[in-house]
Amino acid sequence: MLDPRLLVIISDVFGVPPEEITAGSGPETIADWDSVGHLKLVLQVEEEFGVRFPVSDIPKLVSAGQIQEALDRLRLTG
Amino acid sequence: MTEAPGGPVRLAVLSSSTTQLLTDALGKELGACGWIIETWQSGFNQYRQDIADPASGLFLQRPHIILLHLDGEDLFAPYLTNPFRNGPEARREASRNAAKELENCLKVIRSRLPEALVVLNTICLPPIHALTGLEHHSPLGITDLAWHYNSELTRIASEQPNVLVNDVAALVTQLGYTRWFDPRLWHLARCRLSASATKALARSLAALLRAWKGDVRKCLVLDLDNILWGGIIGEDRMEGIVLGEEGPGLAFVEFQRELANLARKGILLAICSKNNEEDALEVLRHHPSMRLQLESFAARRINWRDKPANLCELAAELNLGLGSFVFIDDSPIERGLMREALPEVYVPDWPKDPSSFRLALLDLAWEQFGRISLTEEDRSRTAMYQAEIDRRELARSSSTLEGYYRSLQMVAQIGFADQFTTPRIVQLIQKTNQFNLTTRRYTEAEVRKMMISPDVLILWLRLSDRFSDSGIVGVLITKQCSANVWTIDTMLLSCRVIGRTVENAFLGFACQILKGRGAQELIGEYIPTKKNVPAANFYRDLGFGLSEGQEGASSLWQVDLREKQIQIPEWITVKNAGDKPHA
Repeated sequence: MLDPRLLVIISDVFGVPPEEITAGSGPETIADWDSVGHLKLVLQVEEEFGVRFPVSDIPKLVSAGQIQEALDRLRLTG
Repeated sequence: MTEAPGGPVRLAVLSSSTTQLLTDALGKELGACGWIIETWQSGFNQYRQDIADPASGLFLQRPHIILLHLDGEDLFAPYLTNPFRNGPEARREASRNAAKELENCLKVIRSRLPEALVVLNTICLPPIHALTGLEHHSPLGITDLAWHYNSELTRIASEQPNVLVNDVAALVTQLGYTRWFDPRLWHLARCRLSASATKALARSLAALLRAWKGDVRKCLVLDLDNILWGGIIGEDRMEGIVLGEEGPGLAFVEFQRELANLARKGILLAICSKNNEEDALEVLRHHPSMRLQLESFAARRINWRDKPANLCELAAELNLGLGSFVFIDDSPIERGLMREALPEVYVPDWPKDPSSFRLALLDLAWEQFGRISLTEEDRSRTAMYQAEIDRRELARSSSTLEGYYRSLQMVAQIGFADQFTTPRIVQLIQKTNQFNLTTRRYTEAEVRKMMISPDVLILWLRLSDRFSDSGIVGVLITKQCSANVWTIDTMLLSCRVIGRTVENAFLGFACQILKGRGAQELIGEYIPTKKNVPAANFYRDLGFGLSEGQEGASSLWQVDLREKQIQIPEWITVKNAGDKPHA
């Protein structure tokens, strides 16, 4: 399940309607999700959820579902 | 919001690191202030190439503003990688060389884009490094690289027109280096700014650019109870309120001191408070710890009426648009009512803890009341508004308008723009909204260019009367468009002297000067804005004929100087302050 707050952030950063965002949404499906867009998204997620991803995780978070999983992991261990 | 600058502003961003996130954030900040921003972004560390290449995107964009953001860690990378190699002299030399390279970049930019504003930045080097402990106790060090470089920047900015310095080093100190720098972003994207740093830097740059454009507010309206002092004067009485040299009372004293500094920069202070006026005035007059006095305020409304109505009255009394005001109140209800009733007024959230007031004010002041230069007029602004209250008293006691004008004993001094008067002229050009016939917002560089042009005359008018010297309050720019035809490109008067027939004296005198230069025909232009209705009938009332457009709309007006003389009102003494200085 994608957190509604995550949907809002993805929608804000890339200007896509939240109802079109699925776990599979990523650089292939969203045009503005390029390298700069990716950083913007990750930084927004970190601010909103009060988390910090390690440097090696950031490049792997390339879909809405992967971001959600990483959030779930951080909250289980954190 | 104050007058948004007209038309799109083209902003180019060049940097030694990745700054795309900063560019986007800055565009957003300025967009929220009503600016239309078109950005162009140079690539990572591509600034040297883009400046050197006349066909680069930088010069194709023809930007109005160039942000050249250089990081200390990039400029002095070798000195940080192995800091054990260089002594103090080598470091000084390195700073000088970096500054020299920057000056060369500026020279190339100037040769291709003479009008563009270039924004530079002070640098900060990492506060903890391999030499921590050794620095200051040995010839080794890195911190002095930043000191020398930053002082070179101050010199460059003072020598070159159209250069601003954004104090990044101060921002880093304010935020803290560990929050400023996010090593992950550096490793992944060559970006030296954390998310918080990007936000802070974009905000500060927006404030700097707004101050440069004159897109700033003019008057701070303050509540009294729990703002200027703690407690409620109507209940706690003078001896019970919290205001003094110790403890929480000191927080209010320090807040007041900072407000006094704001007034010294020419920002007007006013009071809007629900109280019995007598109770409040007693504190203002007699409380030993008050740092602000009655004379510190340009106007006040202390009564039980609703605050938006009072604020509208203050706006009328001070002759300012609602967009010039910021309103501080401790009550969230009053803040909400003000935001709802008068959305043009800026109403910041305000901290509950008085210990936070002073820093909140400094933050607010930079954002809303930014100043990058200070004129003589700024320093005495509050006193001038107080003289205006005396003038109104005189007007009430005069039986006729003419009698009032005569009793004012007005003296207008009119002269040509020179290097001393230019800063104030530019300030008026950028800030005057009401009596401004064309509202053309020229920058200092543009004014200086016109000043030395043989077919442009830039006149200023300084007004004094029996109550005060108002300083330079009028600007008139005329351009010769053929042998005996001149146009009035710009004519404006500060709102504080509107309604005293000064404009007639100004134009009358200008016509005499123009006739002396062979002018036979004069063309005036009116471009309507939301705020310049007071100037709409100026040319018609002086006997100009409509030659193009419609009354009240964009229009051209014409007068034959051989047939018609524009009279200088006999109650104004006009003095000539000298001829046009030679270029």
